[in-house]
Amino acid sequence: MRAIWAIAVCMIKELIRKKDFYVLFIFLLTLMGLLASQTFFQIEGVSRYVRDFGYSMVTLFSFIIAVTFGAKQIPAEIEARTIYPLLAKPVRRHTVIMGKFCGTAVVSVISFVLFFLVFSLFYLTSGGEGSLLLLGQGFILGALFLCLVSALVIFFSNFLTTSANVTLSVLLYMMISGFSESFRNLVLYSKGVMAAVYGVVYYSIPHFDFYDMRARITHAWDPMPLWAVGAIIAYTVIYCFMLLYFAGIIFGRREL
Amino acid sequence: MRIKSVIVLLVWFAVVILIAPRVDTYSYAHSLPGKTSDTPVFLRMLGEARSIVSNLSLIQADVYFHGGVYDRGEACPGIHSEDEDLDHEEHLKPPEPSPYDILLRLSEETLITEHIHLKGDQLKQIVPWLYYAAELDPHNVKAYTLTGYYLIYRLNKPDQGMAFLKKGLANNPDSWEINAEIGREYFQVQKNYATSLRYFQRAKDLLDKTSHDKFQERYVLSYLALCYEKTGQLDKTLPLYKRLDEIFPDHKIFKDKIKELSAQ
Repeated sequence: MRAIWAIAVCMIKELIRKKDFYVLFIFLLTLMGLLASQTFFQIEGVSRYVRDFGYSMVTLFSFIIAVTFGAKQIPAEIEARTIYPLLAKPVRRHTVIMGKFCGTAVVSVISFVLFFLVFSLFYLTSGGEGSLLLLGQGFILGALFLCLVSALVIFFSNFLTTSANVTLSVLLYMMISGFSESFRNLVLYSKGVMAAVYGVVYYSIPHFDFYDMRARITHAWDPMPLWAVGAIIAYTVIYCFMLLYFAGIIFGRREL
Repeated sequence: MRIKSVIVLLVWFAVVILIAPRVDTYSYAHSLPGKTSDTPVFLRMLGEARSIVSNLSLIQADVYFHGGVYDRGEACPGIHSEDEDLDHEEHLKPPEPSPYDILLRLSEETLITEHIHLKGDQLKQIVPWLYYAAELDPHNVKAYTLTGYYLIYRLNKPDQGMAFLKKGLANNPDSWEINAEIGREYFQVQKNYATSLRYFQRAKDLLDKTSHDKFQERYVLSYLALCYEKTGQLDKTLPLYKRLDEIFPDHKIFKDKIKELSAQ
């Protein structure tokens, strides 16, 4: 546990040292300020599009941090040969993977918390519709989403270069988020062998769409039922565990 | 060598950003009906992509109109009857997943499939997207007519709506849709039938020059006939009702009108 935390702390220090987070934070603050100050035809209380942009930006920026931080961990360490002193210590390879995952997840969730604070400020001051429960669910699911992304990126970083990892992660995110409903319908409408094939694919892909609270938060829909939130937490834990377990096996078999 | 390439790239980028939009503006200004200089530089840089983004903005307005749910059955936010609402409910419902299919059940729970339309004060939430659609592409006629409609009739902002429609007309003087929408506002809101008549006459002239369907023709001709009636030019209404009867032979109201006018 101490070894995992030591690896994670190194990554948190990297977040503080690098400019990525600060640039995104200032950009978010400026964008939200500009959007909130915009008026249309002297109509007051037009807030949904600010929430929409705000929540999307918060998720996207945290996703960028998770992917860019996680993707370069193992390839960069191998390239810079800094992995060897680490492996020379009495640390199991699964522990290294776990440390990298925890570091990426903690770094992205810390960024998410700060981004989310800015968003919450605008959300709560924009008045009218909305609830704290929705905001709370948005926060929990956002943090879970980043854990899943971190696990996926760490898994990919075992056999992909940094740029390939970033590209694949972004593509997967865009495709799964954009076409989740169509893919779901494909599974529902297909029959026979094709239904089984689509079903296997459907159960294998990471469901980023489960964590998307944008429409609920923007349009003030009812919060998600508690059992669904619980199921998503369980799904995240199982999926992350599977990814990290296989990542550990691949990393363990790798000749370094 | 590497630094040189970076400098060349930066200079090229600066030239494109600073000069190209201006050259573009002056080259094409004569061919555009609106004032291009009014469009911000960053929007001009989008070039032809502006019209695509503008249409995406209209789709986003539609998504907002349906409470964040994209309804592929509709092109744009509009007025719907109760029956149409029922139809939507039907075509949105996918088959039920098996109760043991955990992920499909979960995805069903996370998705919002309920069909709603924004009503009353909530409608103001679609305005930013309509506004941006028109700002992005000043030739997107639908963006102007929809914005005008929502401002005038649904959000009780007739002055702003009219000003926006007139801005749209300045950018698209040959649009029968905007002429008709302005005419409708003069007719329904201001009760200024003489001015309304002028706009509908112009709308009809423009409509005749473009391809259109019978419903669009009915819209313009009906208002034009009403304007003639209100301004006391009954003799000019008869040919209009005859034409309406021709394109909609099943509508009794037009036959009755023809009978009534012929008797006079």
